[in-house]
Amino acid sequence: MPGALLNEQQIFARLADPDPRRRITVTPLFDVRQQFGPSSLDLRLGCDFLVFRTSGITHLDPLRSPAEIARDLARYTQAVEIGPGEAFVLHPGEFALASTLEYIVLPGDIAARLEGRSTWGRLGLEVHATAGFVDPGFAGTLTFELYNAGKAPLSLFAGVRIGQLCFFELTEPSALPYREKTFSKYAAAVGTVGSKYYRDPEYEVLRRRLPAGRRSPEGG
Amino acid sequence: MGDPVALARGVAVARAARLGRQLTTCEEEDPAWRAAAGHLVRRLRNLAAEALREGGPGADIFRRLREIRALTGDLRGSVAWRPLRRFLEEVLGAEINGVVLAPAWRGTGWGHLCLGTGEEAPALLYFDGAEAENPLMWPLAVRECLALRERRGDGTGADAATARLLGPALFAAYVEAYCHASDDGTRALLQERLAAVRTALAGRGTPARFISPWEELLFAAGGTLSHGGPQVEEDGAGFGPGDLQVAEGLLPRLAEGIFIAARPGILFRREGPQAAPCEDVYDRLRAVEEIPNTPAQIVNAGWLYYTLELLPRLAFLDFDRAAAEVAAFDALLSKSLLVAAVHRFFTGGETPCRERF
Repeated sequence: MPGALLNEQQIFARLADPDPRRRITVTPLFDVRQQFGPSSLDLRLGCDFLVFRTSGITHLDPLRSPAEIARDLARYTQAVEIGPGEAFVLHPGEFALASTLEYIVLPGDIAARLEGRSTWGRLGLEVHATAGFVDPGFAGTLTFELYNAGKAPLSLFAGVRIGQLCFFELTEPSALPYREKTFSKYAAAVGTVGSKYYRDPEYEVLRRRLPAGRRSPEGG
Repeated sequence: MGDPVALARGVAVARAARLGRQLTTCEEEDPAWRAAAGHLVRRLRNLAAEALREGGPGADIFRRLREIRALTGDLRGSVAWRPLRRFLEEVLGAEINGVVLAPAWRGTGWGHLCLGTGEEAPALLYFDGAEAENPLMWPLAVRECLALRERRGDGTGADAATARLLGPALFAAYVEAYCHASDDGTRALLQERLAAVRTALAGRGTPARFISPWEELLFAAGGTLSHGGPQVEEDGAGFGPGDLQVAEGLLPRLAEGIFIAARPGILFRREGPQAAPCEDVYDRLRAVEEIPNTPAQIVNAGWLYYTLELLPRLAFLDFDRAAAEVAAFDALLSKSLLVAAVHRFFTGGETPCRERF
């Protein structure tokens, strides 16, 4: 990981920075006595989840048309929302997507890394499968890829601290910010969003170049 | 500060966008909807385009939008009503037991039906299904709940009580409902209620700039505003100018698409972020701690942004883009309400009106 890891005073200075180009935004921020670590900031579990149901699909085929894949994904996932004091139960071996309670904005010279908290790790809860890196310029809620690797079901409540964010200062601001500051501000996620893997341009090429009969293993 | 034609255009486009979203939900839930939803969305797209023509949308545009609304009222998909119920319970400060929430049918909009007699009789509270995910209109459901609770006949008392809880958001919601109303009788009833709300807001010292854009839209849409009866003595509690100041302070975050669930706490405002170092590092860090906003502050901030920024801008966007912006705005407000509720659950925070009521 390039760049310097920020300590709590540096994180604080960035959160309070009056210059929006340098400011880190994490909102809501409450009970900082609990939330700040020596070099990290705890993040809380949000209210909405995507759970997976397999009964309606045979497999996810990235070579179908984007509209068909979107319908497949709608059949594959179910949105669940919990309110204050309501539990979401993650059973052993289950995987679900969730998001942070906080909305986060990173400036162009700060990257971050999402990690779990050992309190939950000891119970078998993993908060990300592979995507723990947050690019400079990111804005939105972060996605948790929840997996219960333990033996007992876990009751999860919105607002509970399940992850932590470490911040790294780049030696030079990125010239490729994650999100352009056009008016498309609302494009930034405010909740749990499922995969849009099929929009990767590689699949466009595959769809265009592969004959329909050769797209699936059955088709040879 | 408001241009009634620009507002009317925005209201028509936003309505078409929300009706279209409702149809898309139907289609996702049941593929049998595809042909009907596709047909109706094309009609909505055309209506939105017509609304943007010279002179703004005429009465005919709103009439044709109402026709589509009448169809979607009958052919609706499931509606996620839990956020609306949570909003009601937060604002009113109590569970609304015995009240069933359901989308309205055909031309009906917002209202309630008692399913029996007596104080404890179960009741049905119905809402416009196209607005189920639009928190700006939820003050109308609060009003219906209060009318049910208080059994105040024509509901005039309920209007004043709702204005006390939610401020000018109720006025704006009523004017938008007036634009969407299906018949003259409903419009006449809404005008009476608007007069009562106007009087209540004046009694609370609400600055005119929070009301006048919607007043002008009401007049442009053919409505009038009679005298709303005697002003009730106010005790100063409830939603007031301080809350409106908070709501205005949330606009920059709304413009950035950031949650408006919370705002900087007292330490930040009193001492500034760069206050002198404290001996206890945690005391210093607390300067960035936030406090949760009330549902009323969030909804009023939403109305301000909607009036000043979003509705006028919709006229310059194609329908798909406008629909995406309206959906994102509704989602941002809904999520801000929910996140603020979680924040309050853990910290107590500022009262969400309940103790003032």
